[in-house]
Amino acid sequence: MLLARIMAITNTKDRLIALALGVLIVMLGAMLTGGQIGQILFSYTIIAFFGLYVLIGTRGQASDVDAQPFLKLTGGLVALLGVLFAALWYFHFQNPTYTDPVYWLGLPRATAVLVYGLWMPPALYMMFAYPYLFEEYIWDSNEAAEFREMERREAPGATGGDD
Amino acid sequence: MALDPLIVGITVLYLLAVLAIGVWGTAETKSTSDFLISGKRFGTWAVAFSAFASIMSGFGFIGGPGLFYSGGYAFLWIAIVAPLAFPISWFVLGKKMRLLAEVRDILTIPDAVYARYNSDTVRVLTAVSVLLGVISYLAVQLKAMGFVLGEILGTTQLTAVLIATAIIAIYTVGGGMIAGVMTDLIQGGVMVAGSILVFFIALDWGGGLGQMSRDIAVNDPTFAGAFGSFPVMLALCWYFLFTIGNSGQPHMAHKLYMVRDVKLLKWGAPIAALSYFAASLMMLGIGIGVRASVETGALDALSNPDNAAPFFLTEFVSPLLAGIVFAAALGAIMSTSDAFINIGAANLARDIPVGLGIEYTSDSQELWAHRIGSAVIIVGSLGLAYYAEILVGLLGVVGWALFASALVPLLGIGLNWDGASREGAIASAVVALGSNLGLAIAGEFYGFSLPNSIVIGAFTLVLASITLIAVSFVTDSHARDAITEDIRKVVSV
Repeated sequence: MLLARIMAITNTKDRLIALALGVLIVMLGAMLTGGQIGQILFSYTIIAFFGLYVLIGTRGQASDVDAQPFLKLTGGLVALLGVLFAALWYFHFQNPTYTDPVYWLGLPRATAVLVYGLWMPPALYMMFAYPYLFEEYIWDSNEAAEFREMERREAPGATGGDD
Repeated sequence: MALDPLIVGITVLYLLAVLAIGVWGTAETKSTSDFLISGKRFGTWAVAFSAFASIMSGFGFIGGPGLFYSGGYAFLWIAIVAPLAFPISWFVLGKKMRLLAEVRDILTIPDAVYARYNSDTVRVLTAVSVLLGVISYLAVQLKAMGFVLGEILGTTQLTAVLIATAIIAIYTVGGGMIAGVMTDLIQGGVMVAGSILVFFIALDWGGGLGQMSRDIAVNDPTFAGAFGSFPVMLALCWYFLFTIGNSGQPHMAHKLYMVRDVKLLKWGAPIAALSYFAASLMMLGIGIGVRASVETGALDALSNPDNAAPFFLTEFVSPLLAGIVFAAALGAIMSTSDAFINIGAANLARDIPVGLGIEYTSDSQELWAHRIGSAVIIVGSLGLAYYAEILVGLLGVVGWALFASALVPLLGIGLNWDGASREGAIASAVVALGSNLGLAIAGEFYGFSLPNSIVIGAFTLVLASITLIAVSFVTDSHARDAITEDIRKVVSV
């Protein structure tokens, strides 16, 4: 039934949600599998879910043209995290016990990727993308006027549900 | 024994300043909206600092150095996530939460859930999840406050926690979120400034990050590794849970209601994210620095890893700066506590009664119910902290996880997808509540643990999200018709 429903999906948002469902199921499998393969797979499903979560949160009912900046934004995030995790795993599994490690900028290489790569670059990219996209794609003056108009109408109460 | 008089003096001054804000906040609080969401009056800095200060709790500021001390760089997998998590939360929820407060009479997180799913069942399930999380978090924060203030004043922990709780009670019961956000602004500023200064002092003391990383690996090289001495899967679970889970934390999401105008959200993400980054530097510097000195034999091992920060501050930092940082540590705990008291009061006085069909006859009656609710939450959590430690330990395991697994699917996904159905929401909320409590009980009483060092919260977050999506797909034939026009507009922007 679930599969039939997913096969019948026609709109973009539902497709994204179905994709997120697939990623979450693989993520669960990766967690339970464990070991080197499970760890690597888990890390990449995390990255995929980050990207899908942001896309789900930003696509709205926007036209494909309006959605382009968000596709580029999430593509950039996924690519950046993907490369950084690839470097992390490469250096970590080369020397998982960290015996006599090669140091980069004062840290064993895998730790350096974590401290100098995974900590702030993806965060800086996302935190400044928000104000950069804000006025044109996140909140425009027409939307503001529409919601101010809605506010002037009597708001339906938060109580009195129908279930 | 009390610490240096300068440290005590700075701490007392800080507590008096917080009290003064409480008195001012009480005079400004005229309605339930003022009490719960500060009457939507604050600007970018106040809301962003309040969001960051609420997330940076005593667990981070005091427990963080302790975890770096215990596991080397492993704790980075929690410390590094907030700067990425804040912008993700802003992208996914920022506009939606604020717009909900624009179109509906929404004051709490369960109000938002009700508005989205039009279901009292979902509202009550969410309120119960939030209440359990609030009680556990608050009890832990109060104990942490007793630990820090007791060290400073030289009193017993119980005396210290009673003093601190009385101060928190005065400013939260009277001033609600107006006092809460204003104190968060000051507390956040003190945390950032203190953390940056202490980080550089710790680096200088330890000979720089490179030297400290070599020293920490003298006996166990994995301490300097990317996953420290903790299991890899555990660190990855933290990374997932604390990044995505940020948008499900009621003390963070709730702050998004309070901004004066939607356009003021614009710079909130970088301010909150950079502030958290700055405030987390101290834990790295102290935790790694102290551990490195223990590994090389320069210092004796600490009896309790949580003593890493107080030990370093009292031994190696000037009393003036130590006083500021101790005030910051209290600020970290108090800012998280005031948010939880407010959310817990709203659960008791609004979400659960309204979900059960009870309504107030006037706003002033509701405001007083919230004030009484705040007092009940404070006294209840204090009692639990000291007389029901098993319960606190049990709920403490699920605090952040319960919030994340209950609210990320319902709000993070549900507010952005009109296909999320009421049935999906109920199933997801039941799975979040049942799996978190069930696994915590199984772990506490039967020694059960998930395989491969999987963190319960990451597991339940995945499970609850799958449930919401799968059940919604199967039951969504009327989901899109069940949403009212104003909420559909919020979901679709």
